[in-house]
Amino acid sequence: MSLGDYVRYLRATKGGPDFRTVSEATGVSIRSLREIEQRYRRVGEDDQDLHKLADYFGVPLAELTWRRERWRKLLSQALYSALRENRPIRLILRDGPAFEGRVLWWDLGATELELPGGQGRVVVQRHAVDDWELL
Amino acid sequence: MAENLWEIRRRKRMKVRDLAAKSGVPAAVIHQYEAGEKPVSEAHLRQLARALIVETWDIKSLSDPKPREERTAPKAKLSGEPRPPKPPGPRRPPAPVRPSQITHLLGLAARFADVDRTSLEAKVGKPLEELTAKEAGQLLKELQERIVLEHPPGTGQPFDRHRAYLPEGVDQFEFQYLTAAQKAEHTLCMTLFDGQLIEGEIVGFSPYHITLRQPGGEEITLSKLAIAYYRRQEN
Repeated sequence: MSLGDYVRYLRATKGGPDFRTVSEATGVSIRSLREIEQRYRRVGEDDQDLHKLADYFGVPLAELTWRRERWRKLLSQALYSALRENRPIRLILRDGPAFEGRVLWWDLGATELELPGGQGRVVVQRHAVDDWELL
Repeated sequence: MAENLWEIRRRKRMKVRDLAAKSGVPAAVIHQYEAGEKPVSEAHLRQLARALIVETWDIKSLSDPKPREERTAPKAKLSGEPRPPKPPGPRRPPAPVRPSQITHLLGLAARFADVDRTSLEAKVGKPLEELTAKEAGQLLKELQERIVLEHPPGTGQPFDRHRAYLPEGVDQFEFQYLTAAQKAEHTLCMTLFDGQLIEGEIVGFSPYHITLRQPGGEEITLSKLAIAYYRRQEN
């Protein structure tokens, strides 16, 4: 799960405060918050901002910095490579199972995998993917 | 005794834009009236008088122009002459390339047999890390245009897609999947983040929600953000 998806998830678990509310509580600018949640490239370069957000949401700073290295476009590239080269990919979901299979299609919201051994197919929402590995 | 429009306005401590907002007379027209370029029309006279809380006969039909030193709007603007250019401010240095741009460049280059880091750096004459953000953006644009040329939209290839500036572009393939599942009346089993399992046939969906009809006949609308994954129920 990218930093942006994770911050959006944390915001939802806290009752859905808007950017202004979070900004006033943390001191992180609204512009930075919007950039973090909405950009597909690597964002959140300011560690001080991430510190403030980690304190606000009550999560370890490492949860945010770890996800900063997994921006959305990287997953897109991995899915693209898996599809193009017909390679299996492992998708590790947050708080859930890991799915390993071949990519049938992907877009910016979801991807469908064909699981091996006749296990069928599964459509995974990309915001649920914590980590991935091209096999 | 009738006064000039600008005299009354100044006495009332109103700016032209305030008078324009209050009266409904465009600010540019008020400037022309105050400059004496044309007489105030009957309709505007009533509107301005009401806004200034004076009688219509208190406003001179044709104003004497304001004294030169009191003019707030530059004469060049009214007469259509171009303004003198502003002196240049301090120039900011160009933004350096972002690490994600380099990653993206190399990712796009991997699609071509004749493009790699070496050829890109030979093209720009410097290491990719020394590019500006603008230069990197230009290189990205060239590679993307080449991709579109070599893989035009509509050719049916699995990685055929258009820019995701519309919801349909963001979830083009999921849209097709859900459409097919709805038409075929497949039962889908949704697993939510909190572990709940919800199954049903698709009643409708949008880029952000899916509505299912559950086995008991009840309909439930799920936000896609709450869904981790889903599978088709095999009969």
